[in-house]
Amino acid sequence: MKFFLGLMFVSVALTLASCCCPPFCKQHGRWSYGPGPYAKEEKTTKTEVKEPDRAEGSTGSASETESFFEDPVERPECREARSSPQPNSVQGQNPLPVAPICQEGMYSCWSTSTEMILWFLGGGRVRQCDQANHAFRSLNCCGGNDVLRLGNCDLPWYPDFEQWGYKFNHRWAPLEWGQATGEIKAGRPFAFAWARRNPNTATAAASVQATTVSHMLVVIGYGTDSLSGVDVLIAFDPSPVRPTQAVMVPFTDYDGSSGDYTHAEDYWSIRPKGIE
Amino acid sequence: MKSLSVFLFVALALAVVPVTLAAPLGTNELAAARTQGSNSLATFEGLITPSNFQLMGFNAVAEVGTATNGEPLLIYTVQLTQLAGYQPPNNFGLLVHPDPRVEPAPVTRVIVPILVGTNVRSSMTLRLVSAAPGQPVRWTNANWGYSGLIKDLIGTYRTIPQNQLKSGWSPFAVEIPVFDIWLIGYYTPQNDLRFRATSDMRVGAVAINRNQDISEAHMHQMAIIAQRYNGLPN
Repeated sequence: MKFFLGLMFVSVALTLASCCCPPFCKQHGRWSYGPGPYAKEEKTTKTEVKEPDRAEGSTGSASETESFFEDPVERPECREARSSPQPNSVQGQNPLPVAPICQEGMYSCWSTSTEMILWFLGGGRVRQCDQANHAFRSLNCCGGNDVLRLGNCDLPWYPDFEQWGYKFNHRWAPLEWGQATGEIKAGRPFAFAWARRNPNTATAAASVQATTVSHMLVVIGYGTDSLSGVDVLIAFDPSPVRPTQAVMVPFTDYDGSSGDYTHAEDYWSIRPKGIE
Repeated sequence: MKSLSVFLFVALALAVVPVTLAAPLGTNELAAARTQGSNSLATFEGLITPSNFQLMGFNAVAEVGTATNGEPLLIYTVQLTQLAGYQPPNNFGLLVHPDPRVEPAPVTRVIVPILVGTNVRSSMTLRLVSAAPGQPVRWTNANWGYSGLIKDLIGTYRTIPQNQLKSGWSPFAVEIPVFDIWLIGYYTPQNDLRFRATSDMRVGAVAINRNQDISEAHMHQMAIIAQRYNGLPN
């Protein structure tokens, strides 16, 4: 009888083990909630999962769900990212030598920006899929190659530097020129979001119900043309279909005073917890 | 009764007469864009330093001093609401704003390739500043750089054979801001509006190759994903 009960116990245990492990766990032997391997090496600080306090996104489509458990495809040009220097060696550099990391999802500019900034500041490689796991309370957002899965893991959201061991200042109003350049001089890239106002409104503007689309970029430098007096910020602009590229934007577009963009928000003065 | 007849005649005429398919900028707008392009290139030269020239697409600082502007590429936009509402087999023309069939093209943004010799290095985007009635049009700087984007746009532009283009028409850039996807649009001699991908991309479960024409199924897949946009940064 004891032997029979023992046999039953082992059988049930084996059955449970084979059924409860999700596909990605079976494929990759991974059942952990946490940052990717790079972040672990960098001793990224993590806190417990918080309830999202932002608007919930809707669910993905059926056709996206079909591929959800497949490993996402990593674009070849994104496989190799440049090594990131330590922050104490970059103060005074303009632009800052931030590594241009690829945006892996259609909607992951927020986590791409976070990943670029944290890696540069020495916070490790906090992968976009790990940020999505945290933001959307998921365990399944990382493919075996640590690339972001699409569907429900690929939604617009906000950076959460606190979650990854960093403090930051947030403001809805744009930084002043001196503040923006001061961040770069201090060796701190910063993130901002903006929305372009009604593109192409020369005609028929009233007939177009333009919904604003907010997009996040990382400021890595600045410049001034002495002849024209034009001030610019140099930013990395992540894109889901091509490598992250550098762009110079007039400061008057960044701060919204030109009228072409609406400034949304800034995440600045990003520094490790414990440093005021 | 007579006025009704006139109204019906005009309505019928408007429905039957084909819209002229041509999208050059107006002469004044084009001249103003070229002038601003020259000024903007000079400003760009003043912004280039030994520390940032590579990020902006140049091989050497001195290159920017020899750079010239290429022909402006008109930018049309697929706005979120239009994309999210797309249902095949709707015509792509319904997605694009402003209407690409209107002449002169009422676009307010152009992207200008910056060339060194015949090689594309970088770009500048200009936007039209709202002009008061009776005042000359004026363009201003919107940005500089995007060296990868402009190479992709021009590369795809050049893959379209001349005999696949409607006579007198030039391809144009089509931006989908919600995804930051850029396509090349063109009209065929049969007046079909086509979009062509400028980079490899994966849209949901669908892979689209660079220089591949966008199908209705591709656009529908983009529409499905666009419907998930929740207004937060993406």
